[in-house]
Amino acid sequence: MSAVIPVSTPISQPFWEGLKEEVIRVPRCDECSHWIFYPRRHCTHCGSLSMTWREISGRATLCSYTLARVPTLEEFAADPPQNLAIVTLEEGFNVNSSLVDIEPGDMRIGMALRPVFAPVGDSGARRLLFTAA
Amino acid sequence: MGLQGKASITGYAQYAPEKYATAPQMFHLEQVADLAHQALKESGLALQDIDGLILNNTSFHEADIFVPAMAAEYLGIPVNFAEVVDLGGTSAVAMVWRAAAAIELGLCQAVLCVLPARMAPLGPAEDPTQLATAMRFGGHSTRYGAPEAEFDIPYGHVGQNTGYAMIAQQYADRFSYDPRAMAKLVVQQRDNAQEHPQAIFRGQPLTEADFLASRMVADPLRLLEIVMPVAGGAAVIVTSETLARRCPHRPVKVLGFGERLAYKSPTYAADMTVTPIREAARQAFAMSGLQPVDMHMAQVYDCYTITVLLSLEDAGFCAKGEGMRFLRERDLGFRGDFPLNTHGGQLSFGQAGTAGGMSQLIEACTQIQGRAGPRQVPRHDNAFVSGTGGVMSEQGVLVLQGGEPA
Ligand SMILES: [Zn+2]
Repeated sequence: MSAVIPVSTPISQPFWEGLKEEVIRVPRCDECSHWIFYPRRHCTHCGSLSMTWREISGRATLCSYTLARVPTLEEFAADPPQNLAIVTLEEGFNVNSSLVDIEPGDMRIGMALRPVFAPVGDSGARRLLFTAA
Repeated sequence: MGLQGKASITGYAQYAPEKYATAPQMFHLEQVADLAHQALKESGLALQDIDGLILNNTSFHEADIFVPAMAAEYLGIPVNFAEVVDLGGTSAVAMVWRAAAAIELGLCQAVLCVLPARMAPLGPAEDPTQLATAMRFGGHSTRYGAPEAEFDIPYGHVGQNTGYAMIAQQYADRFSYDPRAMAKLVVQQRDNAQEHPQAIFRGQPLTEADFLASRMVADPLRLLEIVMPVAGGAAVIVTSETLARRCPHRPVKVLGFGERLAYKSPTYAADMTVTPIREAARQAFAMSGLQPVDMHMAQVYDCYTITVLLSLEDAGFCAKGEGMRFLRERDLGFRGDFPLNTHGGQLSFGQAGTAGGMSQLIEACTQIQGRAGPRQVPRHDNAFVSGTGGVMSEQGVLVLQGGEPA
């Protein structure tokens, strides 16, 4: 189980702490307004080291997905078929995720999504999953 | 800019792909020496002629660091140029251009590029389950601070199948995903493999019906669209013009190359249906003075069918979105109008770790030298070879041309 519990770093901590409060916080560049995901020390667009954590709505669309007929890890074998998703936030950046409460046959690239702040077991950590908006 | 075409591949060797369970086990240093010996015989050179060495470190059994020094010592040769390449499935392509560049710079005369990929014997204190644990996360790092440990693994985004599947889904949404076109690619490559004595799937031809009945692994990818890992290993020797004259066979000149790394995870691609081979191929063709239409064969890295499709489009063999039609309309056999992966590709030849990408390179050399026997391509002067590492993360291209035989 341990590897699937996200371990935050001093750089990413506000993101993971935000999920526990059911908000999504992402750093945005103070110089060029680029959203920086995953969080890091610099803006990948302009190189600036100046950024501010901002709260976003979580409104998103489905960029791509697949159904893993063979689970990618045993931790994901419980509810087959495991789905994996790449989600595009309305701010324009992508995140790895997974979809909940959508039948595989109803998954469509481009569909509107909203965030689900899903606890990871009883670890206290939460993952950012998505469901149909 | 770039190479002058003065460096040539003059020798190569590869172990027949075999199932891990039944393949011989050898230390990687032993494999390096054995493959070097075999490739040197082909090239007409002696071990003492080797003065450059390129190998892998990432899955090298006997060490993680100081691998070139250990290997040079084991071989018993000092070298002027030593390097490790950590580029997954494009390592073979990457090694050859580095060797060619070092030779054209005058650093060395003969470079051994080698990728051992048989398992090493287990030591008395070693536990086979440790290997299984290490393999659980595939190419994903679990170390603290690794972006994928934090943002991939907790979501189950691990391994290669699902990454390639999500690229294929994007392609399906934007254009179309035609299982029959993919079936044709797989079946024709399997046909090609029937004429390669080393191919793991020799003697097992396929039909379109077999393909369509093949089970879904990660939608839209079926089992027969996914490469099978095998034990193996391969080496090539790249030499200067002077040493190429000792080669009893036609030297294979390295006319052009390109390399491009875009990301580790396609999640962060600007557009995951446009792959890094675009820049790599553009550079390789420009350097060589040749065009896609001048190629007499394409040996295209094929960990998955979608890899081939996107590589053909982005390298300029057909327009974006036309790949499925291209596969349906062209004859991909070794006697066809677009000879593709004439050894069967790794899908039918087998993928021996990072040495799998060397199978494409060695097939191009074998064809250019006119030594492919029953699967010989009729026109065989110019070849396109590609490599792909990660999840379309890093790609390389070589444009090769047969030189004058000595
Ligand atoms: Zn910026």
